[in-house]
Amino acid sequence: MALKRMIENWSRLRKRDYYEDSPFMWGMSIDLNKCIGCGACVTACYAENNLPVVGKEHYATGHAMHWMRIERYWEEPEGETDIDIKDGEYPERGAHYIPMMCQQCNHAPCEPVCPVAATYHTTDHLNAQVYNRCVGSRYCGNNCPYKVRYFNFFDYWKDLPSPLEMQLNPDLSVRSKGVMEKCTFCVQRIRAAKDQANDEGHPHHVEDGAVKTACQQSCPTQAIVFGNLRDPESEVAKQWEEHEVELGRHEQDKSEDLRGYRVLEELNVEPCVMYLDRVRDTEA
Amino acid sequence: MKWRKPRNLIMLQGLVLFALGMTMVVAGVQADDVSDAPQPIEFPHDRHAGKFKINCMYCHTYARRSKVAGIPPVAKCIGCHQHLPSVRNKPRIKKLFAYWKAKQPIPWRKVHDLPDFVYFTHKRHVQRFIFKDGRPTQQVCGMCHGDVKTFTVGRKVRAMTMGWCLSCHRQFQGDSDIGKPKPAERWMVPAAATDIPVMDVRFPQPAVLDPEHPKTMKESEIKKMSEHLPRRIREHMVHAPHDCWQCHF
Repeated sequence: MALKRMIENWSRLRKRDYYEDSPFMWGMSIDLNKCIGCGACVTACYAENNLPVVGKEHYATGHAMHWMRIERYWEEPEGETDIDIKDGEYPERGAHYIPMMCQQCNHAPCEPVCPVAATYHTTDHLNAQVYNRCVGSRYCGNNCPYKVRYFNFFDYWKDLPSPLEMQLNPDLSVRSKGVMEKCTFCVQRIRAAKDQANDEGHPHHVEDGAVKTACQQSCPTQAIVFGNLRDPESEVAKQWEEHEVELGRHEQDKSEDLRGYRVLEELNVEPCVMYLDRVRDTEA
Repeated sequence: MKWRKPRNLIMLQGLVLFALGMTMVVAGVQADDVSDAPQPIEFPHDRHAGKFKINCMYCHTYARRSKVAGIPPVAKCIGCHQHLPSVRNKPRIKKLFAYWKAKQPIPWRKVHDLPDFVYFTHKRHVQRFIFKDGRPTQQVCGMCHGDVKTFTVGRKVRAMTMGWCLSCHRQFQGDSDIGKPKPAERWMVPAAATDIPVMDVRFPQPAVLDPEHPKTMKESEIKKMSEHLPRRIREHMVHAPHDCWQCHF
């Protein structure tokens, strides 16, 4: 039976629009022009999703744990500039930041490799991770092109000094040793919003803005927009349309006036997160 | 050939022990009364819910709007009991007022404690069965909590395992959704099959919603019932839920 289900999962992978009728497809758009790399989103994510702070030593041994991370890139100026680049020093232009979290791929490479089907696609087009099903094989993490899956090498919650366990968010599990975890697009908040929509009598429509992910909520420059891509009125759907990013496109549009792209689009993993490229003045 | 006998005996002993152990494990999981929680005050549900027919949601007030049903604050107990001098000198009530005077909450022990990785919401169940379908409160609560109006302190009378949840969620539900896949059903079958109307009045109604039998059906009964279904529906019925995230995240 388990095998039958697994094969179903695999064969479903390449079937397009399997969940076509679903009224929800949660998506995100991140404007890198607005991102200042402050890391508020990362901090908010830690607080919202019961993430352990593993510390330097664990980090150095490859036990990193952060559903969201700010990737920093130093950009070399193009062509000739007036800026002096001294040896070993970076130019004055500063860094370029990309907040990176699970891209909730529609053709997720992590899903077909899970031996126990602990990661799969929900009808909401979310890439689910079921902790109590996970056996910790770590195939998914190794198959993830974005490297956004993190493994619990220890029972980190046991290290929390006494009153600190009270700050854990009761709306989602505290993960224990031996399971994989990753960004869930704050599924507990999505659930709460859908619950409310159900109360209001429109279970298939969640109003735009009713769900705010923790990172979006805490972003001081409002670089992150989250919403339902299936709802044409939503902010995120509008942005996707404006920048002509759509599912099923496998090449980045490099034209000047369109900034939208999805990371590693050419891998055909169909992420649900769109980034808006940063525009820089090459003269400065 | 003498050596054979003791070895066989040991094997037999091992087998018996194993069988005994397995029986204990199975019995432990499926036992009806699986809890033993001595409470600070032996709260008489039989008086409140049984004799005086107080609505469950008068004290467990969050059940209709929250994940948890909630335990009433001491103030709620006192709210009524300060006007009930007839029972004022009963030992249980004296204890209650001692907590009130000390301004201490009563350290009730949790009886129905689901694992941390389970998302269960009282609200959806209460909203659906009590407010939408208009069933009597005690019957609806009794589906999972047993016949509380005969208890003193709360007891866990259902195993509350995942299979037990599914024993309900795999069934058809009330008649308000005829022709439509049930919300629960929708998650139990692959999404491709959700346009198949699984509800038909010809099919027998599950006993769990029968007012005469506020009890959960057994697995075998569900199986027997689903045998009458068209094959395409039956095939989808036997699937485990495809959306684990409904309850585990």
